[in-house]
Amino acid sequence: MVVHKINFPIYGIIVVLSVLIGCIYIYKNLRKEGIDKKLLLYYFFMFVAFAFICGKIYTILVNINEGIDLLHAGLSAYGGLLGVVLASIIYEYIFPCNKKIIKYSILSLPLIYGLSKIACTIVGCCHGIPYTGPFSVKYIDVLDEFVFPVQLLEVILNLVLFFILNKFKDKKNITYISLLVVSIVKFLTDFLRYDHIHTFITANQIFSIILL
Amino acid sequence: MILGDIMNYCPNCGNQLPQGASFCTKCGGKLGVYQQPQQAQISPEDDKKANNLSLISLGLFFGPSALSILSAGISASTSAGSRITAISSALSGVCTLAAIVLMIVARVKYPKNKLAKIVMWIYIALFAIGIIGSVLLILACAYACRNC
Repeated sequence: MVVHKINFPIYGIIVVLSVLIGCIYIYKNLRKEGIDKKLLLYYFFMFVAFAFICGKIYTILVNINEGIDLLHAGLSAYGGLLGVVLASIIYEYIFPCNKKIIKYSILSLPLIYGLSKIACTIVGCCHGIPYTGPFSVKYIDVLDEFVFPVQLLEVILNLVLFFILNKFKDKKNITYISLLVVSIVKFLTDFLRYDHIHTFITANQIFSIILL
Repeated sequence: MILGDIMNYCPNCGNQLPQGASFCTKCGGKLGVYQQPQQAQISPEDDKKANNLSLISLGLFFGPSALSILSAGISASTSAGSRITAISSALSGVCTLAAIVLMIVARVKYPKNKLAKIVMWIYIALFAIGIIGSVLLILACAYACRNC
């Protein structure tokens, strides 16, 4: 499959929509648990700020020798993920809610990440290792060879993971299991990314091990 | 009010409850979940605490960001300078997050405080300007590149 460059800001739209869908999921479940509406709205403000700024801080620190500043730093999905986990822990610490905020925030991570990877699949960023087998894809203006559709694999794996974890959301320790499984999937799929070719272990994989 | 570890009283209405209760039998409030304080007026001590939180929040939000912008211009030419720029940018990001957390704490715990409300609206306005600015920039780039 050959993908041509799309002259439309589709990447940003899909990422914003994926975060919005994740927030709706968290909101619906926390309202069912009896959490106050205003408390939730403040949480979402913090949720978005932490996801956005931690995504940038992660990019800055991983590329520390390039001296990127906050305004020009790109957004890292993994940094956003860490930001969301941090936001939920801090908010739960300040305004205790029986750890429901942490639980549903972590449960929403594979949903948000999986949907946002649709943007990467279309645009061609975070692409896979060189590959010419079934389902291989070539992104014109990004790379001059066929690659593995690792972004599509991440979409499928994360969405399936979300539906399974959501089905068992009332089980004990589901929060820890969710974080564990999301980290393992991220760690393993990173081996199929182009960035991994000349690297033994990527920064994302190091953070996955830390999370585990 | 923040709930303690052992709850024998409802934090909402003060009704005495058996240990392990998940709902108050008098007001129906869910236990173990933070309840916003229901005050008609804020006391002078609480007002002062809220003002302090709001001022620290403003300081954390604007102070490190300004320093970060200055240091980016001064030190970007050398590799050590690049690292300083990166670290100061990361620190200003952390301070921004701390500022937002403090603002939220002030708004939730002291909802009647005026300064906390003003600070909240300043951050919302800046956030909205950022979003609108980003969207306009993306549309401008897409328009400029339409024949690329």
